[in-house]
Amino acid sequence: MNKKLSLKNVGTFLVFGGPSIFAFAAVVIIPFIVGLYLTFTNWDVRTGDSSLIGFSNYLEVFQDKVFLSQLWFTLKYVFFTVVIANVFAFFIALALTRGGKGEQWLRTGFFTPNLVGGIVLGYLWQTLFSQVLPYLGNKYGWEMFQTSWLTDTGTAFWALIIATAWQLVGYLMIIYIAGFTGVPNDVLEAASIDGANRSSVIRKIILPLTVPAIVICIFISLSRSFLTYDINLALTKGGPFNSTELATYHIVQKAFLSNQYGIGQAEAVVLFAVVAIIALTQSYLLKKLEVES
Amino acid sequence: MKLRKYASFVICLALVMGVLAGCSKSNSPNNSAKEGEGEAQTQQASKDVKLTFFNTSAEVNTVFEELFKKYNELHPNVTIELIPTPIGGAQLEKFQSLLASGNPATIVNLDAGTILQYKDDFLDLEPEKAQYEELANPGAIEGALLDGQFLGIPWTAQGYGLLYNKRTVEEAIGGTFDPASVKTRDDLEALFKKIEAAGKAPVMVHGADWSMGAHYLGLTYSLQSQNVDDNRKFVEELKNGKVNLTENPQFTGLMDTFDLLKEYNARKSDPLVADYNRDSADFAKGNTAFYFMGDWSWAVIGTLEDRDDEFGIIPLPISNNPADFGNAQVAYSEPKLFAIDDSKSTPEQQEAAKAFIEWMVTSEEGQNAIISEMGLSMPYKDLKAQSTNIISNAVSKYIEEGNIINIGVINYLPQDYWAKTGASMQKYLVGKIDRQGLAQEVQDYWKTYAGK
Amino acid sequence: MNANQRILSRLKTGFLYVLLLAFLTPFLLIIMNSFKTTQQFFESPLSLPTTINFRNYSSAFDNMDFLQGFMNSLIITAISVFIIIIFSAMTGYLFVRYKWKLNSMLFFLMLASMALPFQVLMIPLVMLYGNMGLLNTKLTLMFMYLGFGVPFGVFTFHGFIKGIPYELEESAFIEGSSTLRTFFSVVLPLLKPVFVTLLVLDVLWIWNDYLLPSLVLLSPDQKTLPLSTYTFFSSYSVDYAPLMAGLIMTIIPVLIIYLFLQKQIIKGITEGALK
Repeated sequence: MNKKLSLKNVGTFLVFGGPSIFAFAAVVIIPFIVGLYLTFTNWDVRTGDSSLIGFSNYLEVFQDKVFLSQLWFTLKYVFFTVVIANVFAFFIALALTRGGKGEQWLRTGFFTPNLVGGIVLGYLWQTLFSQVLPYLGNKYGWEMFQTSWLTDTGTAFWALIIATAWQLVGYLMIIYIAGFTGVPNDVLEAASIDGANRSSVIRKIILPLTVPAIVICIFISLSRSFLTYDINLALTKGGPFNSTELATYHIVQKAFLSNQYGIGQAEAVVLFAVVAIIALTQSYLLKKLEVES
Repeated sequence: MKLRKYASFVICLALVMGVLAGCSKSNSPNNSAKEGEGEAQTQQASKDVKLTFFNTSAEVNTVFEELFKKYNELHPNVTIELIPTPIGGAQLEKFQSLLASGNPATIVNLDAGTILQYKDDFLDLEPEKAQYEELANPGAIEGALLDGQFLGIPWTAQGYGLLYNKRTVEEAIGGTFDPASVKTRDDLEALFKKIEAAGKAPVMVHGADWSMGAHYLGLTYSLQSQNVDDNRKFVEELKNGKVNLTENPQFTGLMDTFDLLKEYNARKSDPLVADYNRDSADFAKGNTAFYFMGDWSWAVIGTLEDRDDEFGIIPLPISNNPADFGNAQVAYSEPKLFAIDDSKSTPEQQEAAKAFIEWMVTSEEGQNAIISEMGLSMPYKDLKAQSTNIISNAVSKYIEEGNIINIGVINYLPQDYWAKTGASMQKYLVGKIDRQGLAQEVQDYWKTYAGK
Repeated sequence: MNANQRILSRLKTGFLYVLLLAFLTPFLLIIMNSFKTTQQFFESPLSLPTTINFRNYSSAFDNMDFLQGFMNSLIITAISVFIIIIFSAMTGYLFVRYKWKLNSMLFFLMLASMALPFQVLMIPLVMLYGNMGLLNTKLTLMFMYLGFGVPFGVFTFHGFIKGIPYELEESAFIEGSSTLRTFFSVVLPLLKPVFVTLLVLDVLWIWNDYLLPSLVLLSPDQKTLPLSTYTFFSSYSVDYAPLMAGLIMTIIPVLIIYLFLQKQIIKGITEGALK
């Protein structure tokens, strides 16, 4: 490579990548490194003192049975949320890319949950689960709604999934719709009308063509549901009796309420590793699929 | 190309906004110039001081803001800004992030326990102590001391116990209700039976972790002795694993009473729903006769339509011996304190903060705001405002008679105690664990703090 | 299309509308209850308001300092979203077309960062920027949004730019166009659907974001709308009635933007089909 070309490359890199990479480094990478450093200290916001204590925070993380069981709880939650949200989003998007009547309003309708932020959304669902549904349940004798879903570990788990998926579906739908743009209209038509060949059209033609969108959607739903915090806080507050604390919620409680900042931060790093491994592996696998098809 | 169209739309938007932003910026010097004029008229010499106020009593944010405005009119050189705080545990996050970023608020309104945790960051108010001892009710300042230090100025007093709806209770017993007639757990049970027979729910147990962990189970620590230091020793022994709760008379007494409340609970079918608005409304409208809660619930009850007018409070009986400590006393504390930052604030700011706090607790405007508008009671003498909070007026009677349980020990407990032990209480409430299991979980929680 | 298929299609449309109703129920509840008092709300959440009164709206408008919050939100959202989209499209292009080691490493870092719990960064972030005295300005907040928004933007653009045949750019290069010009005149127009999608998603994220502005913007005159909404949350309870009115007022601007862009998405799709 001659000098002129490499200079030009540096220029291209700075022009195209400069601003975003600088901001990314300054806002994400550097604070992350500082945060990583803090996990090896006993830093305390109350005094601001810190000294290096090696890996003992991490040792505590792996001895924290509560955290490990919450990590497992989070995994289950993520699995169901991702599957449910993606299946619904995919088929709704498919049904809404035909250019039919009222499509625009339907799309807007499915997307509306995203117009509200997480905490408020959580409160809304909380009201729904703890007041509206029991009210209806008692009035009409529907047994499953007679008590609040939020006061039992099993149902509260599903309440969390429903509330998260409810918002995610519209979000993912938008991405799937953008992804379907690349699919010729007649194929979509065939998939949505021709009942006989439908499933094979979806499987053989649409799926491969929309792999980029699927990769993006699964990645997003994975990372977003792993990092759910707002809805957890507003909907169940971790209750009943801390049984629905997702990992992020537990971390925040540990760091800020129990004043064990170093351990909380170390748990966050562990969570990060888990999410990163799962998310990147699935992207890698799906991308391979994309190449093969 | 369409793209260019809305790229330009976004740019235009950004530009317009930028211009507007510029306008609003150029506006502000004008404003301050105006303020400057006002200042020139009144007190030319004094410098402008800007204070920030971190408020964890979010429900009265607007009242505080009004007070800031009023104070600014009286002292144009002092401007006070409210730092909005989010809800629940997120308040601590915000507080810690302010501290970590080197932007702590000049004045904080925080739980006494939190102030103690961060005591090195707050100004020691020892020089002010004598003055406040003059102003406040006897013992009020003593009760606000944290490890013997005067770090925060108390401004509100709270009491809790069994609130009662007078109409509902009296309809059930068919006569006038004398709160002093309930001296023991058996008395309470007899009363509950009558209320139930009258077709009303006897008692409301609010199933939230803060109510059960801090207010109910928290009594275990405060009831050990009338002396806070002894209560602290008890907690230390808990941490060291030297206490067997199932053999502790205060704990077993409290839990026996809890079993009674559980049996007559209005929310028996779904005890953990814990909807504060609805629970308070059911009590205020007389659907439920008793409510384990405190005078702060007036903020909700006071504004309800079609509610009853008369409410009172009785102590929570924990045994069948009327003479036992707790059976004639209601729990009482000064939960929030005003403290002044000593990590980044300048001496001028600290002086201005002191003057402002004094104004808030002594002036008619301040007392009026706290007592009438916030509906809180103040632990001060010669109050210039009358409280409309019927429940805190009822608490005041117990305070005047000295019949209180000082729950000051909670200031020395770790910040997560109510959430963790509250979760265990919730399990007990729904029958997921028994008494033995509850005692075990609570003891286990305390053991994690051994030596800390 | 035979009769069976028609029935099937009808059924499907019917099902979609039922599903839609389920999606919208919570919003109908918000709208309905924004005209009641908080007491009426929790006593009978499902009843229709007896009178239409806008008291909640006016009290929310005053208590939230709505105009100021609106302006702050608008400035922050418009500028942040604009810079996020432009810069991440450019970086996405860089990563696709120049397969240097450094680029793929950076791309990987960005991907991984999307799995980062924000709480890991929170304290270090306020520590660093607070000690440099950079908090409490909109500029810092917008810069942070750029940093946090770029990974997702790059990730999204990356996938779609890969699908664009290189030949299109090549011909522009042969005509002597610079890389930058080629990008703006050839590549960017092709990214339109993604552009719009990202615009919608980023606008919503920033418009509704609570945590980051609450950490960065300290003084009340900087408050964004989500921060103002929390006026109605207190220690034990929530004042639902004005909160819901405030929510509706917060939603309407983004709803308008969304409806406006929604048309563009449809156009993008039909144009794509004509290609």
